[in-house]
Amino acid sequence: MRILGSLAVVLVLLAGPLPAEELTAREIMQRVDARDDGDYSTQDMEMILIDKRGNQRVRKLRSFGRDVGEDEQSIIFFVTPADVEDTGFLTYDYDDPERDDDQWLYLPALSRTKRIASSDKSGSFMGSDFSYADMSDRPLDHYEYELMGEDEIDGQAVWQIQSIPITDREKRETGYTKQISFVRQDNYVVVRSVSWVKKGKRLKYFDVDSLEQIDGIWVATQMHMTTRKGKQTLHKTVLYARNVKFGQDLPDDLFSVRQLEKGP
Amino acid sequence: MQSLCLRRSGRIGLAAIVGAALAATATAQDDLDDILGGFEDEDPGFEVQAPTDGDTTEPPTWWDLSGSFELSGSVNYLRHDSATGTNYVGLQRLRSRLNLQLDLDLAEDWQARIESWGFYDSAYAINGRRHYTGAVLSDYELDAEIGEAWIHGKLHDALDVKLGRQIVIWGRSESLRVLDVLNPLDNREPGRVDIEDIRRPLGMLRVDAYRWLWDGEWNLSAIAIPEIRFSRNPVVGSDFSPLLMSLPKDEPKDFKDTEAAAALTAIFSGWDFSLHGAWFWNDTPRFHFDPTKPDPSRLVYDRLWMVGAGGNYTKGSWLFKGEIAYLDGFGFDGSDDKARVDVLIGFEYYGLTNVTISVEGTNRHLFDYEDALLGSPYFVRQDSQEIALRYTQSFFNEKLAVTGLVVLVGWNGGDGSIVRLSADYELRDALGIGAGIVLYQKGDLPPLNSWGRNDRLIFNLKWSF
Repeated sequence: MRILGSLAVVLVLLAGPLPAEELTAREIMQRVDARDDGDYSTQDMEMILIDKRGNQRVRKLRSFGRDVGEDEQSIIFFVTPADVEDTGFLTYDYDDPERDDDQWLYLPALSRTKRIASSDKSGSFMGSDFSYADMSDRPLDHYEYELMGEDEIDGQAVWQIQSIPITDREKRETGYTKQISFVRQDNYVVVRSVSWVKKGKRLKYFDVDSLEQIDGIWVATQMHMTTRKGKQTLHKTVLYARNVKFGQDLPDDLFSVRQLEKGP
Repeated sequence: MQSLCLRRSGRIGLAAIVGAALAATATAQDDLDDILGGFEDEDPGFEVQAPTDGDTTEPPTWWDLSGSFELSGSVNYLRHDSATGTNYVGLQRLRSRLNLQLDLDLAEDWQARIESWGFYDSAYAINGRRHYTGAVLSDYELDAEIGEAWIHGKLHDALDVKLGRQIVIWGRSESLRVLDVLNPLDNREPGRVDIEDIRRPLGMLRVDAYRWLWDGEWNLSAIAIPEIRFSRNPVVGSDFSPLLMSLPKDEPKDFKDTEAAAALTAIFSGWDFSLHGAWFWNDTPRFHFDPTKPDPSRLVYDRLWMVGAGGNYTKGSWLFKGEIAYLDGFGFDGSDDKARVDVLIGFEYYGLTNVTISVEGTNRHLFDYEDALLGSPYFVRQDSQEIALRYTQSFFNEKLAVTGLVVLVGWNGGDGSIVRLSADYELRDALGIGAGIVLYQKGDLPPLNSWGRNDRLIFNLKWSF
């Protein structure tokens, strides 16, 4: 379960609220990272891309994901718009931060599968405000964490944690210089964050709008990311997750170039 | 006094530093509060589109009709006369093209597709049809074709079959072709190397076997191609043809002329390779003089053998690629058949955000070369090179894509070159416009010596449904 789980917002197996427990920032982020984000998942995604004038574009996707040990595999197909229908994206996301992910893109208009070198993850994911880095797990050891305080969001107690990448590789790959995350204390879901983007001195605001428990796993079924420069909103993406299912009977060869070329 | 002043100034300095630090801390906290306050400032001032209800991403029926309508044009801004004397300055293309595709889910793991396209180019009526040769009007004014038409299914968990008109792309190159020899091309307008629909599908029977082995995805593919079609090249009287008259072609048409091909591909983490073999017809015809026929000057197609290999390797933001092919069976009148080795190396770089840079180069070496081949009618060098450089960048969340493409024929472009700069903008979902400029530099040898003064502005509007 890569997409929503990797957003660091989606899935947490409730360990029970631990309000009295004194945790360091790193321990909190370890619990965020260690949460159960489900496995053998399927979901429909709908992204609404909104420019600063309010013009809206819609992207619908069908995605499948599974865990292979500590690694994650996902395959995503565009459903709409028509000009990119059946475009597919296959990713093997390795837990080892020193190992490059494997990625392939299938372009039906050209009847062609392309391997992609994936080191730079700061680019836009399918035209949205989410980057590929936002969709991937972050290596804990590549960050320095600071617990900035506690707050309340929508009536829920949260920790406010600052994360700063300490390796050049992480800074380069994510394009972020700093991030402040708000982690719900009852379930370790990151429900809000702001990221400092190195390029263009922009800020990216992430907010979970709807959080549901599906098969005992917390899932953000609606969220948005807004890119701003100063007070000006440059672009915004609203992401809906529908028909989220876990533990599905997905064949092993679903996560293959063969399937990528066949379509969903 | 001086020391007092120093002490005083030191105290003042310390106070200033402490004050500045406190002020800076307060400012930083204010800045942070200001930034975090951004979450509360979310009113977009417009209605955000509601998500589609229900499970609408599933195909509603067992069939799906899709397609596109495209209006495209080009304007030549230099005076250019074709070999037959047609003046091509001004509006050169104003084409309306309709593409329809029907996909069928026949049963579990069985699909079918039939695709067709047709276009009408009104530039010829606007400019006056009398100015053009019959061949140009026949090929460029009105055209239609059945594109892909196949049935594809799973015979076994590890065995697929695909029967019908289809496209098979071999190799890793984006812009140049070494291993990608099976499908002919639509070359009528040079410089479209990366454009969809450039490949002509062929009727094939393709069987693919798959297996996971040694942490890799393996695919053995066997292909028979009974439908023989060739590349479409500029016709006599067109802006890119150096010919004054067309020559009769001897094209293979019998079932015994069926092409055969096979490939073994293995995909691993970070790298992949493939081996290829093919017995096929060269898509490019050659001159042949046959005194036994009423029209002795003819164009014929050679049957070629090819064995080759290709591979990719990724490291960080770099993707390296290589291809090599040994081809045998090139015919030349008055000489034995000859063999050729084609080598391609290249890389793609993804290290800049929303940017892809691609560089490819090929060298084609003809064995047992004879100097006479450089002259008429073959105009072939012993070593011929092509270099392709491509830069693409997307802006505004992929609303705008800018592409720069340079193709050099010969190391320095001495045998011709193409430069294309274009931009595509998404007006709204499935509706895009594009514009650009294409510059052609003629080469020393035919047919590329007819490319000069063909520079043009291009535009298009495409609606997909």
